[in-house]
Order: sequence, then structure tokens, then C-alpha cells
Amino acid sequence: MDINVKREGKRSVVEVTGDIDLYTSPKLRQTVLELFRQRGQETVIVDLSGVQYVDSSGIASLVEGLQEAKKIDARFVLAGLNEAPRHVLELTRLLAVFEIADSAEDVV
Amino acid sequence: MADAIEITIASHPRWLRLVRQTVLEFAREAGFDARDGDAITLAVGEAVGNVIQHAYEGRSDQNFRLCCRTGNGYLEVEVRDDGRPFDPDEVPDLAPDELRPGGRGLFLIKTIMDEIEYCRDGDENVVSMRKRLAASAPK
Repeated sequence: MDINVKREGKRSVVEVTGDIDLYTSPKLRQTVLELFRQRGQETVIVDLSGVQYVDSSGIASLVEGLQEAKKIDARFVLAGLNEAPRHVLELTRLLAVFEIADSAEDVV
Repeated sequence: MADAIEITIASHPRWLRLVRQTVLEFAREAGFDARDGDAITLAVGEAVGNVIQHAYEGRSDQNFRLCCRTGNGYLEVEVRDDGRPFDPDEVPDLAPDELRPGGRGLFLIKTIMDEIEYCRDGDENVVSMRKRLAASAPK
């Protein structure tokens, strides 16, 4: 899994490519939490258009990101969901919990 | 006719990808479509993740065995380890919409697979997961 962060002021786009699983999810978790805690970002968009697989540890990292955002009144958005990651969010009944966007560019 | 593969894999999470590729290929051979194949792969990945995290408590120098087989109208995947006893039935179900980070692995397995069984066989944990073969599966 590769992560590329694009920061513009108080807004960051976290571009993820590859599988998010038990092996790779700690890196995503650390990246997202650092953007909120150390970089003071007000909006973090996780672009998942390059991701075809997310397991429960990946979901846990995304939930932690959402919880952190709520704690500091920031915004946390998932963008570009492919079918399999969307299916996992449906199965875990979390699809309605997250703010979802078709693409990172759609987040205003 | 029954078909089976069995492999022994080190308990390092970097091998999860190999587990997924193996299970996905086996599910395709058994006649499951892409969506079901992905779901079965996810369920098995969760079971193996539990072995690494809970049975082996994060130790990556252990081994587990993965067996995939078809027969009697089912695809069955068995995961066998000799780590700490771990009974999935003792893990409380996640409440709907509960917003805590962990605890969704077993929920996913139970949701995706038709049957899940756990037993302790000597010093080994054995988790068996079964999914009914698709109607279009090759005989």
C-alpha cells in the first residue's frame, strides 16, 4: 500500500493505493491521526479510488479518523469508493456513518 | 468430486495478501462470482488476522495452516494454529452502528459465511468456515 498526502492549507487529501489490511492499516491510521493532531487539518479526505480491498483493521483505522475528526470538530471524508470497499462498509453498517464523496475533487 | 489445497504459512501479516490470492483463486475455481469471491476472501483474511493478532498475540515467527476444499455442496476453509485458545463465540457481537474501531472481524465472517465452527483439537485452534457453492458452480 502506498500513501501520498496532498496538503492545501487546512485541507489534506490522502491518496491511498493498494490493499488496506492488518499489515498496512497502521500506516494509514498514523497518517490520518497525524494530519489532525500535529498538522491541525480541518478537512481530511481519504481518496480510496486506488483501493480494491479493505479489511476490518482498515475499517478500524477509518473509524478512528472519523472519531478524531468529530472530537475536534473537523471534517473526514471518504472519496472514490470502489465496489469491494463499499461492500465492506455496507456489511459493517458504516456506510451512512461516513461522509462519502464520488471523488476528492467533489468535496467542496 | 472433492478438491482441496493445504498450505502452511508464517504468521506475519505481510503474507495476508498471499492468503487472499490463494482463497480468491480457489473460490473462482469453485464457481463463485467476483463479488462472492471477494467476500469469502475477506472472511478468511479476517480469520487469519485473528490468528496473528489473538492466537499468536502478534508474534510473526509462528505458522498456521490454511486448507480450502469443496465437497457436499460447500466450499470450506479451515484455519489451524497452535496459539493461545481463541473461541470466536466468546467475542460479543457488535451492536448495530456502534462506533468503536475494533471488533468487526468476526462480525464480517459470520455475515459472509453460511457456517462457522470453532474447536480446540489437541494444542490447535481450528476455525472452519463454510459457504454454499453457487448454483452455477462446475460439477
